[in-house]
Amino acid sequence: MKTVVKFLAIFALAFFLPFGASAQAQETTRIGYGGALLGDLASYGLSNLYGLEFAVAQANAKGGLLGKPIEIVQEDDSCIPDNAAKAALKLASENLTLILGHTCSGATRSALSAYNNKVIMISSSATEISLTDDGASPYFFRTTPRDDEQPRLQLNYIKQKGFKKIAILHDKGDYGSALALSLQANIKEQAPELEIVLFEGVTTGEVSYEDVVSMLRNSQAEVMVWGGYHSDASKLVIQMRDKGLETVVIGPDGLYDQQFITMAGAAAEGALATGQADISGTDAAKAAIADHHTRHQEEPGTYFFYAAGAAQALFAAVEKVGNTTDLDAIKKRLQEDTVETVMGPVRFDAKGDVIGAKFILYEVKDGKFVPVN
Amino acid sequence: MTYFLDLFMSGLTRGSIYALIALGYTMVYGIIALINFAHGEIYMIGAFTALLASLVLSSLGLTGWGLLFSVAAIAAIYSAMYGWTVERIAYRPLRGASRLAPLISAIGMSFFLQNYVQLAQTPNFMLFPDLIPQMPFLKPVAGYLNRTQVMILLFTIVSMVALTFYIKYTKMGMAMRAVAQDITMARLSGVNIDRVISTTFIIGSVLAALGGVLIGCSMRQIYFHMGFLAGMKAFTAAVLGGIGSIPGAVIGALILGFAESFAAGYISSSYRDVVAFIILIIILIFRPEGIMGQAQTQKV
Repeated sequence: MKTVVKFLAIFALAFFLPFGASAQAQETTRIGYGGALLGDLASYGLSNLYGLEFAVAQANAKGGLLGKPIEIVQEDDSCIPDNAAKAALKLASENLTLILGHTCSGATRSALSAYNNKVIMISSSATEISLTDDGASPYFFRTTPRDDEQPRLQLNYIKQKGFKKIAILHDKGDYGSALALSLQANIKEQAPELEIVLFEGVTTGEVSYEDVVSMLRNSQAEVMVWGGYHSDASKLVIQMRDKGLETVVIGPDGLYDQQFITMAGAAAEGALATGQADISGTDAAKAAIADHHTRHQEEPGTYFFYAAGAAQALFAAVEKVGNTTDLDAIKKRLQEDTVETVMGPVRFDAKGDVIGAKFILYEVKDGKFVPVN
Repeated sequence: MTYFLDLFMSGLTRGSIYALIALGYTMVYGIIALINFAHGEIYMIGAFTALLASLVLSSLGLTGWGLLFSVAAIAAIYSAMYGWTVERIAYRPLRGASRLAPLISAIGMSFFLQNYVQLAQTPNFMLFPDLIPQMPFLKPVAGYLNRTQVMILLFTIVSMVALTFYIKYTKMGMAMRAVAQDITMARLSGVNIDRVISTTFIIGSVLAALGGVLIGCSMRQIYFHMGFLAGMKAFTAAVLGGIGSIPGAVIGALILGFAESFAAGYISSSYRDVVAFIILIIILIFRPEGIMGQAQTQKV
């Protein structure tokens, strides 16, 4: 008898929960968040989500969107392409048409095909070039600058410092290998006098990177450029420094995260990374930082402003159009109107890239990323 | 030449770690013909326990060698308890069942332990403290041998020697060999089978936990999914060496470690696994029972 009651109770719960959710949903304007909330790249995804939450809180304080308070529906993808497709299908099945995300380039690509051009999606952190360049996703926008600028910056620095021997390592992922290949192409075109002594894909998650370190030492490279994320870079850097290798390390924005310094500790010192330009100087941004301190007791993460800016631009466009389902009209507003946001004025070009965003070079000094002049 | 030595040492340490984990697979298989897929998770739990223990002990003021050895001991004991419990709840009730039932149970246990650590501890990478004290006498060979590698080799050699003595010269070791040869006959001769099996799981878990501590010190980062790849590689090593054979597991692990290291160094790290597994396939074509294995028809 007891087990029967228990079963009934569980069934009742299982059936009533979805009803409860849909009943509540009718009084709000809903926006989906897809991206990493778990896993080793969670810090990126969380900074995106916090940015979105900030924009939503601000909008809700002014009466919400289309006269209704905004509600966030979030789905984790852990930056794994497979999970991203599942998360996207789940969000799409809830009839969401506005999505902020996804976090990583590979995951974003697989989410885009799962959404099948049925949602307006703005990413604040997916930087891989072809996402907007191939023209396959008319409703995809991004507030982050694109990857083609990063190798150019890195190459400039290498030339400026007079390095001759360069090692390029990458994590074999969408984002990392694209960056590595792009740097390789840049060097061949613009600086053929430089020698690429090592070009390797590294298997991530291995028990040891010692053999990669050996190869790096053997190649006598003066500088190692990493294409990939900070989670692997930190381990690689630790093992390099452990073995007494002093090669200069340059990474992309995948390395530009405080988490890199936390994990690599002293080994992080002196590492360089290209990252989104610092935009925390304006009054609006300062207010947002103060708000972030009270909510989360820490500094805003890497993509906080880019996500908040993306959400604010999206809200403005939707408010003008007057509904959330006319994707072409929303797209038109995003491309034609300039919206004043936390990250500065936001307007998108025909491909969906934000106009005016750029990367700069940072260096780790005393446990912090500081801009290199 | 230095490059060769460099790769040789990294292959040796890689192989040593595989060996520590592979021993657990091979011993369990040798005795109850079960592939214990949860073994990689024990290695991961060893690393997590070591992290917690080191935080507590270092806040109590312990440093240097004392810290390293007590952390390793705590991790080993705690993981041994896990290994013992896993056997008790997931494998013992299925001992009379078909061969596939405990195999599925093992895979389930592996998922359970991974997700349990993910939920109860953290889904993120955790910073692992550098527990190994400085060794100034390594200065002249700093290019290809560092203190973590020295510790990995030392731990591995000591555990191998201890294990060999244990199996050769103690009563329990003798019982283990008897059970491995013929479980029914051993039971008839008065060997306490349950105890032998439990001991096997405990020994395997202790070795895996030591592997976890050492890799934690070397990589300085641990996370809940770290046992998967390491477990897979160690299992491969055990098969390569002839599953069920203890020296075979060590030889298989070293071959795999060297193959990976040299393949990465002289060909390309993208082709590391390709080369390693081609070697595995070639060896298994010519010796299907593995390098040191004995042909058996009855087991999975």
